[in-house]
Amino acid sequence: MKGAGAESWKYTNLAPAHSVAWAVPDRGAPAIPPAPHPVCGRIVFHNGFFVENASFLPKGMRFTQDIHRSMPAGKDEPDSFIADMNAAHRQDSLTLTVSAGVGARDPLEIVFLAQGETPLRLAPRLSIVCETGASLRFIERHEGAGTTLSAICVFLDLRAGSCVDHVRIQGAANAAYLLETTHIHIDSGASYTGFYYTDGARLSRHQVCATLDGPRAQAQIGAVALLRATQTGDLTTTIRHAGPGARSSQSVRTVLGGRARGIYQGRIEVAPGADGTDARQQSRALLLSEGAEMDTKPELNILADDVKCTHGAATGSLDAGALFYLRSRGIPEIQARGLLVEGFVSALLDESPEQAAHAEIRARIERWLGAEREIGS
Amino acid sequence: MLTIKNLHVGVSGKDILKGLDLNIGPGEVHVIMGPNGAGKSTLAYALAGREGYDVTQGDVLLDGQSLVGMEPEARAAAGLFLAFQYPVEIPGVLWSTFLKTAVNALRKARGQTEIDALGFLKMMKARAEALGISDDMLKRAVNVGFSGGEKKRCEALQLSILEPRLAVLDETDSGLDIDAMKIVAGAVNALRGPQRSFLMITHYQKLLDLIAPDRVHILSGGKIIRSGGPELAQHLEEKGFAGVVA
Ligand SMILES: Nc1ncnc2c1ncn2[C@@H]1O[C@H](COP(=O)(O)OP(=O)(O)OP(=O)(O)O)[C@@H](O)[C@H]1O
Ligand SMILES: [Mg+2]
Repeated sequence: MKGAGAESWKYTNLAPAHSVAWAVPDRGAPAIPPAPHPVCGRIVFHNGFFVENASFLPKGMRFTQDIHRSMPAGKDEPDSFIADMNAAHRQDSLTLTVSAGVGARDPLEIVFLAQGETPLRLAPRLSIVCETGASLRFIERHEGAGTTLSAICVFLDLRAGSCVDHVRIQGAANAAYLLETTHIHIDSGASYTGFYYTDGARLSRHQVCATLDGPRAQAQIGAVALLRATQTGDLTTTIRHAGPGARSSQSVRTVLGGRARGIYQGRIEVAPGADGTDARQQSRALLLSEGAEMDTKPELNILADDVKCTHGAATGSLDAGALFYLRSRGIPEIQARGLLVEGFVSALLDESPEQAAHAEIRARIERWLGAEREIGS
Repeated sequence: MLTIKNLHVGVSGKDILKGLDLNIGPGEVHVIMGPNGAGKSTLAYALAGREGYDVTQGDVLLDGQSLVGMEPEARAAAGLFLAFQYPVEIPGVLWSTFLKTAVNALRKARGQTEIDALGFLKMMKARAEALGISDDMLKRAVNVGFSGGEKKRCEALQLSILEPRLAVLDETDSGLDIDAMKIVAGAVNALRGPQRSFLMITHYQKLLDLIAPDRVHILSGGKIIRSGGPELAQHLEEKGFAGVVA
């Protein structure tokens, strides 16, 4: 495996994956668990292969398997390491097209299931085209067991006036390496909302590259990660304002226990002519133990006029005064710590418009806190 | 109910309380007054078990049980409550979550069953209303963005919901407007009973007109230097600390 040598990989060490003998999976006949909540449709990948008999779509959505079609290149990403790995080991590739007027009550679910009894290398690819004026709500889910190295590419094409609500729940197996690029093109008047929740994988990197390509294009991203033990979680974003008058915001909350490492690299580019841009970025991290570490790297590259661009990063530990206040009311220390951690991330969760995933994410946070308690960070 | 014997407390290696004695009987209301920096809040924090407030000598007994070395939550379970001079803001934690968690933690520690969500909500709303706290305020995060007076009202709300055996009120009257002070004093008076005692820290005679105390103590230089009836506060109001200490 080729090393990830670029500057943007400075904080995320993939070296342990080099010594693993990765095998190519077989297309089996896996048993796929049902969706945990009501869905309007489902697209399932198992070990990088599209599982057609577990997938279905509502009226107004259709998919095609891309056999020989050349896919859009990820050449404008900060680095193409993940895209290259995906291209080199490509398995199934799918395009989902969403027409205007799909009025589904429940979200679509897209599942990436990775089950490596022996170490497996996975490389699926998915493109989603949201046609002019269409809207799509989907939950992207990563889960599984065993040792896997996934290099996943997802492309989102939001045509003019379309609208996408994207919730990503990354609960990959303890031994998983999960690399993914989400490549988003947002046309004029289109709006993208992403909420990314992460508590899985031994090492994960989510690389988001969004281009706002016209007036009134919008991107709003919220990200919450809870990491412990020796987990690494990397969120690397590039938000490119290519046209005038577009708005973007990113809020990142990272909670780190044990010797976990959190990384947020947020790059904002404002191209010449993208006047009236409004771009915001904020990262806050909570360190629950001395061994935990957060690395934050904002990068702004502004080449237009009349631009509002703000960024901020803060890292701290639990507020001792708040902890004492809660305990003085009779709340035991571990429970008090849990309340404070939940409070730290819940403001972001409440902003996410996709209600279907809230209860699930809240339950995951509870479970994480319970496990963190046992370890006693 | 509360017995403090020869209490010495150090903060960051500096002795703040230097041999404080105090006895509060069941149902009594005691007041501590004293100049800024005398150690009043230090006493309150030491009673509640705040980290960094080290008892270097002496003892504190609540109903005969020593509090020294106990965790703050265990002291609360034993019946102690502290209304903070500066209530803490807790982003992202809603009042209802916080109060219900506290009530149930105390019940659990005392071997009682948990209160059901609906019953709790009704109780919380009724007690909030009595203190002039609106439903909208309770939908927000604990103390976040609250005015000084609103925070103090919410300390009083916690007092009325948690129903402690011994309530330490650290300048709960400071920052309250006249009407609010009357409301809070009314809440305290309503809670008075043969099995509940109060230790009120204040700078103002006004509060003592509304809540008639049994005893008034003056804390200065880390010790109680004078004790008396309500007339001592009156005397203090006229002469100032300089006149009384001299
Ligand atoms: N962390 C600390 N390090 C050093 N000195 C401290 C610390 N905390 C408190 N003190 C000192 O202890 C003394 C007593 O403080 P305390 O807050 O108990 O006063 P107080 O009587 O409550 O005053 P006030 O009327 O202003 O509320 C003060 O001189 C204060 O500066
Ligand atoms: Mg004080």
